[in-house]
Amino acid sequence: MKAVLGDVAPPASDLNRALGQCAKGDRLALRTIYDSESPRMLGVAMRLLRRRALAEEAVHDTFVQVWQKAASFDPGRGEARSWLYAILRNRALNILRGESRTDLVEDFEPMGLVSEEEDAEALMLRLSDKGRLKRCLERLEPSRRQAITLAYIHGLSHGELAGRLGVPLGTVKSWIRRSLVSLRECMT
Amino acid sequence: MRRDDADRLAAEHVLGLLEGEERGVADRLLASDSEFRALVEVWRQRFSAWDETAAEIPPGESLWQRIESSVNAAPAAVPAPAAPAPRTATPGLLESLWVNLSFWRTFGLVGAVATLLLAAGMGFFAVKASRQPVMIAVLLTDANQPGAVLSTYSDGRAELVPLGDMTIPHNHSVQVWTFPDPAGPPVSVGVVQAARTVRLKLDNVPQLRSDQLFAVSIEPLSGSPTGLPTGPVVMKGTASTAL
Repeated sequence: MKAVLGDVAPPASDLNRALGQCAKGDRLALRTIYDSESPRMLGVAMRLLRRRALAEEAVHDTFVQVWQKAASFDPGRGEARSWLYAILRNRALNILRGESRTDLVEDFEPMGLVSEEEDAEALMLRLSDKGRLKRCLERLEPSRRQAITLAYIHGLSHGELAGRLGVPLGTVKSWIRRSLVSLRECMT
Repeated sequence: MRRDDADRLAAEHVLGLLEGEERGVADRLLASDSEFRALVEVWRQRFSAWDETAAEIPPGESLWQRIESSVNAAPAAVPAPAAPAPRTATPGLLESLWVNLSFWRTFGLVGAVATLLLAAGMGFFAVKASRQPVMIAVLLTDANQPGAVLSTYSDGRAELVPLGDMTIPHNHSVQVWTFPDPAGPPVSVGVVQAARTVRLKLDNVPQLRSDQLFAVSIEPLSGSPTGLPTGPVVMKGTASTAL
């Protein structure tokens, strides 16, 4: 059954072990994590940052942080993969929100941006039918589902969501809040 | 803070939606409050299925090389050394300053800030000086319409600015080539995945000549596998000295 799903990510215990090795200064363990996770990580970063050079920068910075912070990873507090992606998303969102603002403004923005972005419904189809996230997102109204999806996947801010969805800022904020309450109830 | 508020803050932190004051509050809670960290972790797990839907994009080998050299430059944090044995003699003022960590931290910080300011200032003037393009090439499409402008600068940088609606076929890139030797093979100066301003690498190209030919071809996503254009040439033009 698993083979049908294509590449199956290595079990979390492998990542835990590799992180433990990194904490002891084992470079090969870092490379092991890089080999198994970096293509997916670059994909996640590309959806947020859209530019290859920026996405690679985010992945680069993530692995440097993983190396430096491996000793502080505590398997009792969360999963290794979730720790890895939290670092990546933080880094990518910081690049997106702050550091590259001027850089992005200088860019030739009008073209290609929207078309590259998968819309929320297409993204929904990529979620596993068996997963709770999909089942619970399906309970939301399409526009609210879209707001949550665009925020997480493409890193849109409240203001950008309001512009994209054509509703006032306050409406977007309350959509998000209510959707989060509904998701929490559904996923708990 | 009520638990509902904390939970909403945790979720919006994971979504990347927090701004201003709330962002600061969340950062402080993450550093200090284990209950808040647990809420954040639960939201990360809830949304983690999204990360698995991202396309896998194999990075180039150069990314690992950059990571490796950064890791070499900044070795893993070593375990903190054991606390020093308590001192018996009362230290003098100079001596206590000498061993005072926060004094040296502040001292180092002031130095670092001064260095940064100096570097930023130098960078500002360097950027100003290099803003003026040295050569410009307008690349024309088959229909003889301007498709992109390529500018090169005195510091070796080059930029490609697409004009109009340059479309790149799905799952493809465009690759920019130049002919350092008019009779020789083209040399790649960059692979572009989206129609927007990009920096190009002219490091491998000898001194640019006026009249040097630039061309853009459609290639697979990570660029031509052969090192020579494999797809159709969609625009080309020759460089001339900027006014």
